Amino acid sequence: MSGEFWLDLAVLTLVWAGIACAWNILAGYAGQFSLGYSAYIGIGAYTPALLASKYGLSPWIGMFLGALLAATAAAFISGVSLRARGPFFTLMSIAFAEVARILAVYFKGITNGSEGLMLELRPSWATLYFLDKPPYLLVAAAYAALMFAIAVGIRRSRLGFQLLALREDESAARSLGVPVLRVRVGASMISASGAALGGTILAFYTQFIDPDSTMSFLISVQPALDHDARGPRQLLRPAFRRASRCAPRASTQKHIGRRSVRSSRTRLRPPTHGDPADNARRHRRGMASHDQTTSRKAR
Amino acid sequence: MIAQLITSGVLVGGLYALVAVSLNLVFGVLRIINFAQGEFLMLAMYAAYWLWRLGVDPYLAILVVAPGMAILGAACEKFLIRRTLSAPAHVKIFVTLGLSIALQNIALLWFKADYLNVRASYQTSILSVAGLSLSIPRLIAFAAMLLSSGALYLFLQRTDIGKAIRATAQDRATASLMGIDVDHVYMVTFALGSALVGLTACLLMPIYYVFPTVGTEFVIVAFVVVVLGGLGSLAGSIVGGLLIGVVEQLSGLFIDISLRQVVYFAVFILVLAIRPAGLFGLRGAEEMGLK
Repeated sequence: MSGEFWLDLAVLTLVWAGIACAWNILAGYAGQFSLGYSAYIGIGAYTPALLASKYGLSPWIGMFLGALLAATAAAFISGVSLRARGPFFTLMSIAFAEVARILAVYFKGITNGSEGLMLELRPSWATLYFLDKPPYLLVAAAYAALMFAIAVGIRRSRLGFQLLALREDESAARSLGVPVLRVRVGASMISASGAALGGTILAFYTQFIDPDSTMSFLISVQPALDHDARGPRQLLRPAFRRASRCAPRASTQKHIGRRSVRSSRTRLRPPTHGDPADNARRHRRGMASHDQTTSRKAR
Repeated sequence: MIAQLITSGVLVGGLYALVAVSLNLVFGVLRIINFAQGEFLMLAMYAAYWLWRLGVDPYLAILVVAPGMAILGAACEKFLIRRTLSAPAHVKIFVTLGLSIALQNIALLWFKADYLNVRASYQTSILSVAGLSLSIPRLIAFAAMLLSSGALYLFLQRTDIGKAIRATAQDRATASLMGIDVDHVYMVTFALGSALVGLTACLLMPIYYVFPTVGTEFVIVAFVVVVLGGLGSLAGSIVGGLLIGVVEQLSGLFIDISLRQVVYFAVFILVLAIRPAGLFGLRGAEEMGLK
């Protein structure tokens, strides 16, 4: 095992941990189990990469334009899917992500289609383009820390409590004056722009993007697998899981290439806790004597 | 030209309806997004293909493949799905998704990525009616779709187990309070759905190729059809399937054939946003069984 391998492992772990934190804001706090984050990751990857390679715009600006674009898309998507529940919301999020992928393949003039886009820039901090791995480790660590801080901040904010209330019982939350539309749309915008930033880092790290590897359905599955859809107190756990999942991938990638390792990446995990709906049901029946927040703190 | 497109759209739609009927049965009763349904179709198509290599006509292979798939489905429900029914939603999703990815990769490893098809004398035969040409295998598939859906309808309406299946779909808890063995109902439903997939595979073989990811293509359309037609509505799945078939053919003419999936998904998203119960589903049916 060379140092190169461990570096690769660390960078991927940190970036995906960050994306999982962003995903968790919608899927964990708000309980909207989305499998469509490849769309946001893709927007975050394509926007700065195209702007940098075609117009020489620094990815430091491009990544925020990408995040803004992802937030706009998220606002639209969450507005449309506001009424969908449970598996229907999941199916709808998959449909949106697939539309995004097909459009990325279709508009060859802009995205280069299935051929993909090879990034070749002058290596420097301004272009976020390096020929070796250590600088990316720094970027990935900063990104993961930022996402972690945002996730924890939201969990402690008014928005966080409103999201949890919506997840546990929508009509009760509504009757207590939680503005459903604003809270849902706001949370998905924050969550999507966070994922888009992660997409940017992934794109500049791999230095190659194409619709099939950057926007595939399996990319959407990643944050969901990394995360348990739980609160931020367990945020370190997905990071460790990530490491355990990256390790076989990074090593097989060296030996037999990228495509054939999918099955090892999508390992199944047994449930660790009851689901939110269950907890809500127990709560309503008065069987739970303490609320979820305190039980989580105690844990 | 348009008439021909609509006719072939209806015939293609018949195939979609067939896949959608089986998916609707499983999704409607178990409330599980069975991502592996497409891989079951793929396995059944390979079975039909290998039987053809041994000299069995695909239509005769139905007698072997459909019961075989029923057994596979029952086993899969008993050993895999049943354990996750009370688990959180994402676990249910990952179980079938994991199964789907595993089956796809095993198929890739064993059968390789080649496109395989059968050759039969009737394959390219065409029936010409009033200036429209109709492909014989597609007509057979269409007729089989109508027959099997009719049989399924009678089964669900008239037999005891059929009534139990419908009761479980409406309310799992109440059904079990009325003395229905819900686990048994789930297993029968899953087996029945898988047998229908086996039937579909044999009907598809003379028309289509088989390759490891063939299922994904059909299952995506099938989800669109199920949601469009309405959960738990057999007639909805058939009408939805035909509608999507026609829309697909026409979008090839008017927009661009490579964007046809965008058209499906647009239909899908619109239906979910405006009328989540679908065209024929009962209002509120989409929330049943979720709470």
